[in-house]
Amino acid sequence: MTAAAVVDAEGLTKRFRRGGRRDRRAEVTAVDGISFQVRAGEFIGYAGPNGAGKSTTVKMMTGILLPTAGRITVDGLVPVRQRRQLARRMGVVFGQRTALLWDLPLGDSFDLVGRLYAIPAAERRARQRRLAELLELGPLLARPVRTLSLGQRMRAELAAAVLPRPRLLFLDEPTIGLDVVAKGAVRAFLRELNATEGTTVILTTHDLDDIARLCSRLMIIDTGRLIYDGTVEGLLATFGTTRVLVADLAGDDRPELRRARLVRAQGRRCWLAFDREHVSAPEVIAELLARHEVRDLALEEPGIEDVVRRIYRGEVAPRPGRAGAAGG
Amino acid sequence: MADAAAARACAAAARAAMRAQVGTRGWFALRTLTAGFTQLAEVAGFVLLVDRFTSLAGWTGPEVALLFGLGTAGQGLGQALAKPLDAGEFAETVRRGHFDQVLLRPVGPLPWLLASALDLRYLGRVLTGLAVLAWAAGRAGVAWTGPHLALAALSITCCAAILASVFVLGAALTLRTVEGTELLNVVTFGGVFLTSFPMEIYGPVLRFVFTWVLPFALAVYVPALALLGRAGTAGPPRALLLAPVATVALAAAAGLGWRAGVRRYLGTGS
Repeated sequence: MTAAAVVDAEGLTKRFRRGGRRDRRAEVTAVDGISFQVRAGEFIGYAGPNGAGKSTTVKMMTGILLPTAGRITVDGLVPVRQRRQLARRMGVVFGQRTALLWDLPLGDSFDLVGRLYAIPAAERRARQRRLAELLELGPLLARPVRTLSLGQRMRAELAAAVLPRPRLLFLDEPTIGLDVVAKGAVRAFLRELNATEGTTVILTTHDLDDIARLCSRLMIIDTGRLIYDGTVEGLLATFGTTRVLVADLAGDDRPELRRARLVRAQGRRCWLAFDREHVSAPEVIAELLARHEVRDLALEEPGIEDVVRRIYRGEVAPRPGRAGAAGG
Repeated sequence: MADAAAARACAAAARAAMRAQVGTRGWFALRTLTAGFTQLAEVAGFVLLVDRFTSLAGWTGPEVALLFGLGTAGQGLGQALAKPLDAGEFAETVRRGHFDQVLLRPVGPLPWLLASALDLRYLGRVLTGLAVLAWAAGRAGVAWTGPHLALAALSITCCAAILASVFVLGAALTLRTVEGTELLNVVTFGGVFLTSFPMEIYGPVLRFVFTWVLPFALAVYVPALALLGRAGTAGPPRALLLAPVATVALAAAAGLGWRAGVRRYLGTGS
């Protein structure tokens, strides 16, 4: 374990019994011996299809679920055994649940968080002022939480979670159901928090846009195994090698090229896919221009959305374990 | 030091829960009164019934009403303290993941749950119980001397603590099964209702249960006998000190059961 590792997991495993209590065959392995380290100040995206083991991993990291096997420490503590101690250093936001006092003015929730984490009153007020400014909560402090919109409430949940200055912040789907503006506000705040306070952030999400915009590192879990652990750029470089050339032709004929295949056509517009590893864009363009009269050209790079979808579907298979850890 | 901070945090949570319920003062008064009146109608029916028969196993109407008053006040207090742990309600808390959030707080989950869900509405029940008790004592000729007042307070407190302990045990069971264990309502509310009648009318099995398993009889029936100056013919030993002893024992068992439930929950999750 390196000195700066905030999370250190080795062979982390969780098996659940389903159905019959003593039926060993009914065991389900939710997390299957994963190992990883999170360094202080990292901003990690944790992705995976539903039921892949994401939330089970997060529960083991936050101390509300005991691993079946393997070892884990979070900020030097053993999560379940030292749960309350860990809770002081950790903030958690669940996108679909509230940690706020539903029927009371928002300010009362911050007040209670201040007492719960024993923050001196003056310090709490200063911190609250700063957070209210960053998250534009000022006018909402006197309003009952139940009257806030989803976007307003999520900003408030974030403020409540980071009020005690946690070293580590867990976020579960923090942008779910939010509109573009609200998503932008949440993302801007998280980026700022990570950059200025060095808070380590672990974000589980289905919104890969969140990951592309925020995370320095991406971990993908599938059927309980870590199938990717590295940078977003690394993922695209390794698996996003299929580029698409979009061409508007002058005639109605369909191009048949040696170096690219036609994947879609609409009117006179054609989408031609090729693998960057084997063919360069100029080669494809040269072949196309040699055979057809072309009005316009555009080159599409693969997006993270695209790559991850193909990984989930099993079309691209990263090697299990820490393969492809371009940045790790 | 850490415990004092946790206690202060829980006190703050309890105050917040109360503020949320009281909301506008008028509404709160109305709700409490409504709860009280509903209960009062129940009481009126009960007293009328007992009055018609002039006596129930040798007890007069007012004497039975005195039992009922003690039990109702105790039950109201127990519910105000621990209703969120009622099996059905707590199963919902677990299923929706709210219990996970409680576990992520830097304080003990039980005090935090109890404090942050304190339910004042049930204090209406306490008031009704006390009103019945006052009326019944007057009719039965019980003088409110110092020792008598202390005895009534002890009876109500023990009854409330027994009910709260049963709630905690039910919640602990819910943590193991994550099923609503509504069956427990039979035990809790059935138990409290049945102990509003003299033990003389029950067979040995129920008497044994209400004395040694759910010691409601020790908390309500025995103190009522002492208040009324009756000998009593059936059931539990007449030692008044048995009530607090049994209550503390049950509360300790509930505490252990709760710890085991939480450990089990952390081992399996939902």
